[in-house]
This record gives sequence, structure tokens and C-alpha cells, in this order.
Amino acid sequence: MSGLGKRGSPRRRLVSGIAFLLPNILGFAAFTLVPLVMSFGIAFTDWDTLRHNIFRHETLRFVGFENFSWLFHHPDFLHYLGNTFFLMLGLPFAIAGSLGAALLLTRVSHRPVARRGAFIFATLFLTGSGLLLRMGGMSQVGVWFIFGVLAAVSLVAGVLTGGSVYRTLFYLPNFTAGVATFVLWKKLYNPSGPINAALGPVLDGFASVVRSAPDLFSWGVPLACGVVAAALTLWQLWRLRQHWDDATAGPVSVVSGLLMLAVPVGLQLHWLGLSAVTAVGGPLGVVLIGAVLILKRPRRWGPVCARDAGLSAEIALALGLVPLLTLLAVGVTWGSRLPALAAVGLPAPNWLGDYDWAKPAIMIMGLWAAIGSNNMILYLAGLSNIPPELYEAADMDGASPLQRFWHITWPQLAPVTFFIGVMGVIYGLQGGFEMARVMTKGGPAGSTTTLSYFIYIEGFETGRLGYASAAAWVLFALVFILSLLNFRFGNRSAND
Amino acid sequence: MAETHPPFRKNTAHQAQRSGPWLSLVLVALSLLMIAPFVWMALTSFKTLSESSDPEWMPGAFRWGNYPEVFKIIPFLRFAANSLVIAGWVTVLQVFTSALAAFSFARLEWPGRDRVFFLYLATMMLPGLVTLIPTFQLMVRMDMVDTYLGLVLPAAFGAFGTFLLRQFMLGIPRALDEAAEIDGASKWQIFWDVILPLSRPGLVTLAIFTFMGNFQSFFWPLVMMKTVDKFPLPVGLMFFDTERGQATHLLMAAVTMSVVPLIIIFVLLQKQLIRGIQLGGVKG
Amino acid sequence: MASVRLNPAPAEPNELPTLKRSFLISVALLSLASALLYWTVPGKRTDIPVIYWVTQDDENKRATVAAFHQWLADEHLPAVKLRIDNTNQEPTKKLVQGLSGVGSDIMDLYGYEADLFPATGMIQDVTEDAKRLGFSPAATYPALAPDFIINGRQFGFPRNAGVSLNWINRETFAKYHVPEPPMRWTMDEFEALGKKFVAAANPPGTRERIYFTNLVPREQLRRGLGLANYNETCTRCTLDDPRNVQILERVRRWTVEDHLIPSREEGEAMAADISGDGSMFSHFTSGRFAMIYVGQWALIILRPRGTFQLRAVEPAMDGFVNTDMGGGAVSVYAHSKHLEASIRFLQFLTSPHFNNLIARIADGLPPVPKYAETEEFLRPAAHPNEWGTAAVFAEEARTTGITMSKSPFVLQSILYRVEKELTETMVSGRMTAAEAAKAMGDRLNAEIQLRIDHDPALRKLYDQRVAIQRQIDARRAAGKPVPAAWINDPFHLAYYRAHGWLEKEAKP
Repeated sequence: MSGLGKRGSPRRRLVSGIAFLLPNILGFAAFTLVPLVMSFGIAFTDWDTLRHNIFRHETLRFVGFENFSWLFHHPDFLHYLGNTFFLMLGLPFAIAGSLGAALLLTRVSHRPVARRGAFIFATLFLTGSGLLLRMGGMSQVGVWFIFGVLAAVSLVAGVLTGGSVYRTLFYLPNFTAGVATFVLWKKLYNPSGPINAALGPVLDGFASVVRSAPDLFSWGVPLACGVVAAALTLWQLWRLRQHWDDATAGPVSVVSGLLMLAVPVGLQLHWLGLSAVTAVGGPLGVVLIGAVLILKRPRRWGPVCARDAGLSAEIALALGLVPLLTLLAVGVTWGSRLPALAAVGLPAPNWLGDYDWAKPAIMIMGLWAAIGSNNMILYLAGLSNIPPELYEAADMDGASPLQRFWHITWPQLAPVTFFIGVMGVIYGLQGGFEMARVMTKGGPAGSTTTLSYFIYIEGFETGRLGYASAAAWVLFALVFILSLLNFRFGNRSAND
Repeated sequence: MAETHPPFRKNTAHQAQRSGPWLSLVLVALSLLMIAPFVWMALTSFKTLSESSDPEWMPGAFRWGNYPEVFKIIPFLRFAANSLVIAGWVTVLQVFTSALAAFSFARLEWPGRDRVFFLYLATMMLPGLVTLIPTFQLMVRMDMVDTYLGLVLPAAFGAFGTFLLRQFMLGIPRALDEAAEIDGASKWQIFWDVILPLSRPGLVTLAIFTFMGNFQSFFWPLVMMKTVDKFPLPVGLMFFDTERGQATHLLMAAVTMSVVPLIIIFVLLQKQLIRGIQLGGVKG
Repeated sequence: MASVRLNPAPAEPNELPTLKRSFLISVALLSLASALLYWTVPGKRTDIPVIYWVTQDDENKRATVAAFHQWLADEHLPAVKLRIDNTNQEPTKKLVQGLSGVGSDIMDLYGYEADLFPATGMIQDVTEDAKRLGFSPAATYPALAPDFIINGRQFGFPRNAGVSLNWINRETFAKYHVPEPPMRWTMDEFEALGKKFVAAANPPGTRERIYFTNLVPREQLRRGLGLANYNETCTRCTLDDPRNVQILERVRRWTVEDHLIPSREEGEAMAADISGDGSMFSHFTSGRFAMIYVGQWALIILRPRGTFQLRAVEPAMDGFVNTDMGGGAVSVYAHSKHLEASIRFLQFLTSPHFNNLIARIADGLPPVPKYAETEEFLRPAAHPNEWGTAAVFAEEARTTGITMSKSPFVLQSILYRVEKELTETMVSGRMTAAEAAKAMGDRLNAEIQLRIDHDPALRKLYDQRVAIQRQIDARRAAGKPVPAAWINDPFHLAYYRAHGWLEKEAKP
């Protein structure tokens, strides 16, 4: 296809290309590029705000890679890096959540019954809440009543506006200012706060169930989790082999699929008390063996297959599997302790105050914010761009909803998923700074200290800018590599 | 308006056939889940300070006085206006310049284009924290500390918008601009008359994202601003954090109020968004 | 594939302008709004210079400002206008703005700032001015000096002084029929009384646990055993000492087994708010803490909340009794446009105008000791319920108060973080006390190494001090006295003096 602008000399094309870029790139260069280059330089110096600033002009020393080597000698750097990656496990959930929300919203978007639906909704909402508030002084009943009315109002409004109300409601988490969200969630997570108040009866009920059959739970839960996890792992291995045999997956996809599978296995081993070396080395060894075993197999359907064919589907599937397997590993590790805990009554978790719960608490908060996030809007836009002819054709073939999703919706959304994935990795790895500053101060015992919070502390509390910059550039390198991978898979699947 | 274009209605209509009562139930349940924290927030805004740490959701009595109290402690409207104007300018600049740049990256072919683009993208991958001090020093040199300009300019030229719109524009069929070019349209005309209208959902989406993001930005304005009257809202909310603890009930009242203009703007823009999605449903 | 369904846009003739029109309209509206906002920012033109003081905005600070203006007039000094700037208190903000040359004229420095900020050079060295205007260290409590003197140079002056003690809510003790603690007590006494109290206050089935105290001062307990955070010359962190293990083990037991003090998790559960301190006082007044460990400034918060029967006693410790002395240091920004006027503010802190004000509002002890001897300070007529406490605070500040240990080779913020994080880890059972103590020492000593490796000037200082340390160790081993000038750490100095290990000091 001869693209636009293919006419004219390269020079002319360059001029017009740059001309359009100019307004953006000028501002960009001034306010992004210049500081960026400066920070790159800083990473290789011993810049310490204590000694190098407008008040004290000591000579800045070029220290080469010293900052970087110090980083890896820092006793907690790897811990914080691990925290950052652990929190990233929430990303697939978040993407799945926003995709799910978008799918649901697309299904209801029929024609609005009334054009002024939004106004009707607003009026209803206001009168509803006004009425409720007039009846002040009520206790718990009042809360249920409020939720009842809200449910009714959103249902009515949903019908009236053709579902766009839900879109607004889902998008609500984006309306509070960032810091306010953290304050809000800190309150919600208070051990005697609203979440635990709601959770209390549920846990009590569950505890009595556990107490009634303690043996069943002490081995049943870990066993069930273990069996499911093993089955899923084996299934994925079998699938990989199958795809290799069918030449629908290249070596790159097979290896990366295996690598992702190794993550939960390694975590499981780590939680079972094995040393870090075994927990990392063991699964890696298995990956190696598995890769050899699979890749050695002769191909049934001939050799023609790109090295990274099928990577997109592989990564998508593995991303879904990894968090699930991680959850199951949690079940295997801690499930057997259930009866002992239930004997004294299951306490609601002390979310942000507990070393083990702090990270999941933050991931849940992230999930809540992600379901109705910008990603949902992007998916909505993406979904509406899928040509209906594709679905019609599939319907004629009698495809099941799952098949429709897997063969039409998911591949068609690849560019959107690609964008969301890249941005998710970028912001996910950089994130956690504001959250840590406001909610946890990186604690308890450093369990929520992410790299970005570490950078903040090094840069602004200890003043070692060179060191902080080096940490930031390590983070950059990680994001860059992940994005590059993402790009390969994204561009490929976008062009599939 | 949509009914005049039956072909484009199909886009969503085919899926709506499947919606049943269970779908509404799921949606309502999810909506409640999303609203719940806000309900808690709104209810807390009517509590007394000591009640605000109770597990009980309901206030003992609704203290409407918390809201006037907010206005006594902070110039709320002033802060909100500051936020609106700052976020508004960032949005306008961001959308316009990003559209131009995205057009260049997505529709024009020039040597080195993709490399420049990836460089652009790479700049997003560095945590903003490390560039804070260099950027701040730049602001000092340019005499922009404690000015509105110092909040608008650094936020207005990010790579995010360019990336988003580029992805959008890549989806618009080539045949359109080729046809226009054959008709003798200039590059600018193609951009202005063909691509821009077709990118509408992308533009609206970007506008929403940028506005929401900047309305809430906290750290940079916190460091940059010194004069109280120029504070945007999120920074202004710091006034509820005092030496003697946090006035949670008032903070929640202020946040509740700050959400309202955003919801209104979103509902207004969302109409555009829906229309945009329905009309812009073209993909190559 | 979808090229069949092309271009809806051209078919929609009025679609095109809408987009652009709305864009143009928003630009116009924004311009209008910006212009309005811009012109309505209140101008700050006044005839007399304005200086800004970064501190909290409350009635006491406003009274201070009024007193400063009055003092300037009474002293016939050129008038300036002092304004409270409570919006720039965030530490990062202070640092970034300060380093870029746009800081506020006068700053309160808290916690690690008192350490970091002067080190950057952004705080004005006021040593000479202090001599000239009479606010040198001699004007205040001698024990306070290490708080604002760094390497012999003065970087500020305290706006109050004081030690932290255990405040006792007498009603809570009476309620559970548990005797009140004595003025001076040991850790074993603390443990016995605490267990008795907790048992009485938490009968089986209690939902909300009641605690003996909100925290125990670990640094002071260690000092009681003769162990400071650093050695005499502050060249080595000594937290890996067995005595620290002993203290950490106690803290763990008191937290996890005896529930005398809340763990981090429990504390988190009790926190009514995100910023922490506020809830401590509500729990104290409501009786969930029998005691709280805090300075005299607690009165500012307690007074408006009601009339409580109060006492103040020393924190329980073994060995060498000491208390944590501190002063809210006020410093002047080096690039202040009104340097002279700002320095005058430090002089004002020694004036009767200011000291009498502090004595009245009980924001700690007045920085000049003699103002703590007035009847109004010791027995305020309006608050008979707190009589006796002020005298204890004044007495402890004179006798047992020692400022915190600071090493030029480690920033306080790092020490705090490492010590706190590892203590939490130990209390939660992830580490033994011995492991935690060792890790504290290892990390902080690695930090010292890192710092001196990068800073040649510090390296020089370090080498000098290490040489002195060797001499100190040799003399101590031989049982010989040591010159006071060799010792940099305020605790060691006091400890040596109390034990007669110092060479005869020449009386000044």
C-alpha cells in the first residue's frame, strides 16, 4: 500500500513530518527531555544534595557505575524490587477487570429510552438521597436502605439512559483526587473500619463451618488447591506442547510461556520455606528441562513457523494463569492453618498493618480503581470499533460466546490491550510512591516499599540524587525491556 | 442522530440482543461496589470528627454544617477554579499538540519516524521523581515557580497523548486520506478536514484522561506553589491535615464537593464520547 | 477488512464544526477564566518588608507573630511584617524550594530536617549574629545545644525546650484500682505494674484492649544501660551491642506477650486518623492508654479537651536515668531576602515578650530557663489539675535531659527508618532480637562507609575521629580519664561526666 506522504523527496517528507511534530516536540524537549538528560548524567555522578547545590559548590565527581553497583549491594534493594514486581501481579487482574466491565457495558448499550436520561437520573439521585438524609439518625438499617435506593435508582436510570449511567458509575473511582482516594482507603482498611465490619459476620460463619469439619479443611484446602494448581500447570504444559507440535507456537512463545509458569512455582517454593536460591533456581531448571523436552520434539506439521508465532495468545493466557496459580499457592501454603485459626475465631485481616496482608490490600485497592478506569474507556472504544460483520459471520457458524470472544473480540482488541499493557507496565513499575507516602510509609517492615518510594526516600530524605537517579534508571531499563517485549508482541498481534 | 445511520447502529445493537435481566443485576451489583466507598465518603462528611473513626457508616445526626465549615477553612471555590483552569489549559494544549504529533507519527512517512517515536515513548518510562529536581531548577531559571504557567507547561506536552492518538489514527483507513490527497488536499487539510474529525473518539478520550489526571495532580503543584490563592484543589485539601490530626469529616466534605464538577464534566463529555464511538467506528 | 463501511464523517456536514467549535469555545472560556483568576490573586505590595515563617497556623503562632511585632516596636527596630506560612511545611517541598533559592525566610525544622537542611548549606550560619544579639547557646538550656549546633556552628535557636516524659491519667489508674507509678522506676517495676494494670483493665472478653502506655522510648532505655546509638566519636553505630538485644527483647515481650504497648498493627487499628498523633491524645483522655510518652506540649492539646487529673513521671528504665531532650529549632533560610530581619526573629526568641507567652500557653518550656520559674508557669491559676507537672518538666530538662545522638556520617532519617523497620520486623516475629540488633549495626555501619567513601571532607573528619576513638578506648581500658573535648556524642559526654571518667574540666 502506498502510504500517504510517500510522495515528495525524503527531505520534503522530513520537513512536513517535523513541522507537525514541532509544537509538541518543543514543549516536550524543554520540559521533559532536558530534565531527563540531566538525570541521566546525575546517575553517573556522586551528586548529593548535601554537598552539591546553590549553597555549596563542591566539585561533582564522575563515579562511573559505582552508584549502580552500590544499588545491588543495598540489603533491601532486591526486596523492594521484589515488592514492585509482586504488586505488578495485580496488572493482569486489573486488565481483565476493565475488559470485563467494558464487555458488560457494551452489552447493555442500547438506545436510550429518553434523551434526558442523565438529567432524570440526577434528579432521582438527588431527591432519593435528599429523602434519605432527611431521615437522619438511622443506624445500620439506614445504610442498607441507602444502598437499596441507589440500586433502584441506577437500575431505572440504566434503562432510561441506555446504560451510560453505569459507565459513569464505573468511572467513579477516577473522580476523587489521588490523595483523597488513599485517605479513603486507609479508612476503609482500618482494622475496625467498614470493610472489616462487613467481613466480620462472613468470617464468623466461615469459621464455624471450618470448626465443624476441621480435618477436612486441614488437608482438604491445601490438597484441593494443590491439585487444581498442578492440573492447571500440566494443562498449560500440555497446551504448549500441543501448540509446538501444531506449529502454532514458536520457540520464543514456548519459552516465555514456561517462564511465566515458573513464577508461581518459585513463589510456592519460597513460601514453603526453601531458600531463595532453590526457589529461583529450581523452577528455572525445570523451565530449561521443559524447554528442551518440548523443543526437541519433531514437528508434526512441518517446520514453517515464526520464532515468536503465537506469542500474543501465550502471554495473554499466561498472564491470566500466573495470578491464579499464585492464589492457589497461597491456599497450599496457608490453607492447613485454617482449622487452628478458626478454633479461636477467624479474625478479619489487619489490612495495611500486617506484613502479609499489606500487599494484597494494595492490590485490591488497585483492582477497584482499575475496573472502571481509563482502561475501561479504551476498551469501550476498542469494542465499538469491532466490525459487526465478524460477529454475524461467527453467529452463522454457530460459535459459542467463548469462541466468539476468543476468536474475534480478543484478537480485535489486541491494539488496545497492547496500549494498556505498555502503559500498565510503565505506570505499574513506577507506581506506589504516592500510595506509600500517604498510606503506609512503605511499611510494615518495608513490605510496601516499592522502587519508586525507595527513589523518593533516597532522593529527598537522604539527598543522594546520584544514587536515586541510578535506581530510577535501573527501573527505566526494566520498563524498557518489558515494553520492548510488549512492542514485539503488540505489533505482531496488531498486524496478525 | 444515530437513527439516521442504521449501519452504525448495528455496531452495538447486535450485542444488546443478549442483554437480559441478569445483566442489569450484575451491572447494578458492580455499580454498588464502585459507589460504596463514595457512599461512605459522603456519609462521613456529615459526621463529627470523633464519629469519623467509628466503624459505623451512618452519622449519629447529619451535620450539614460541615459543608459551610469547609468554606470557612479553605477558599474552596478559588481552589476549584484554579484546578479547573489549570487542568483545562493542560487538556487543550495536550489534545491539540498531541493530535498534530500523532498525525505525523501515524500518517506521514518520514525518515527516522519510528525511532523518534520510540524515543518519545521511552521518556515515559523514567519515574517522574528523578526529574523533579532538574525540572524544578528549570522552572526557577524560567521564573515560573509559583505561577500557573509553571503548572500548565510541564504537564502539557507529554508523550502519553501522542501515543494514544497515534494508536487511534493508525486505525483509520488509509484510503480516506489517499483519496483526499488525490483531490489535491494539502497535508494540513488532510489533518484538519479528514483525520481530525475521524479521530473524535480518540480526542475526547484523551481530553477526559488528561483533564481528570491533571485535576487531581498533587505532587508537582505541591512543590511548585507558594501562594495560597494559586493552589489547586488537591493541594488545598492539605489544610485539613493539621498538627492535631486530620479533620477527616471536613476533608470528606471537601472531597465530596470536588467530585461534583468532575462528574458533571464527565457526563457532558461522555455524550460526545458515545457519539464519537458510534460514528468513528471505522477500522482498517 | 472493514473498508466497506467507510467514512461516516463527511456524510455528517455539521459534525465537523462541532468538534472544532467546542474546542475554540473552551479555549475562549479558559482564557477568560485565567484572566479573571490572574487578576484576582491578591497583591502583596506593602510598604514594609514581609518575611515568611514556615510553621503551623494556630492561635499560639498568631499570638507569637503579634508579640514579635510588639517587640520590634518596643525595641525601636525597623518594622517588618511577619506572616505565617503554613502551606509550605511539607519536607520535600521545603527542601526542593530551599535548594532552588526560593525558600521561606524562617523555617521550623523537625526531625530529620534539623540534620539534613543545615548540611545542605541552605540554613544560615548565625554563630556571629548569635554572639552579637545574645541568642547564643548560653541563653538556653546547655543540654539543648547539640540540637542546633553542628560542628561548632550555630544554625538556629529553639522556640521551646523540653523533655518527653510519661504523662499519667490519674483517673484511669484510679478506675482500675492500680497504684500510680513512682517518679523514678525500673523496667521490672514497669513490667510488674503494667501487667497488673493490663490484667485489671482487660477482663476476659474485652473487645477493645486497653494499654499501659503508647510506647517506650527505646533510645532512652538503651542509654540507661550505657549504650548510645553511636560510639563516643559517632564513627560507629553500636546498635549491634548485646545491651540493645536486651532492650529489643523487652520491647518484644511487652508488646507481644504482655500487651503493655500496642504493636504497629494494633496501633494502626487504633489510629483514628492518617497522621497519627491526634489519636494518641483521644485514647489517653478516653482511658485506652493509661500513660502517654510525650513532651509538655501535650497540654496545648489536652487543655481544650477537658480537665484531666495529670501527673508526669520519668519513663521507666534501668541504670543511668536519662530523658529525651529536644527543642523546636527555628532557622533562617540562607537566601532570605530579609536576612537581618529574619535573624532578629531568633533574637526575639530570647525576649520576655516571647518567653512569657510560651510559659502561658505551655508549648514546652520557654527557651530561656529563667522564665520557667514563674508562678504562672509552675501553677497556672486556670489549670490546677496539672499543677506539679510543669516543675517536673523543668527539673528533668535541667538534670536528666540529653538530646538525641547524631552522627555527621549518618542522616537521622536513615537511623530512624532502619531502627524502626527492624524493630517492627522483630516484634512481628520475623527476626530474633539478636538478628535485628546485628542488622541495625550492619546497615548503619555500611551507611557510614558509603558516606565517607563519597565525601573526602567527611573521610578526613572520620579518620581524625577514629584516631581519637582509639585513644579513648585505650584510656578507658587503662582506667584513665578522657578529655571532654574528645567526645562528640551528647549521651556519652553526660554518661562519662556522671561516672567521673572525664579529665578535670576547666570551669568556664
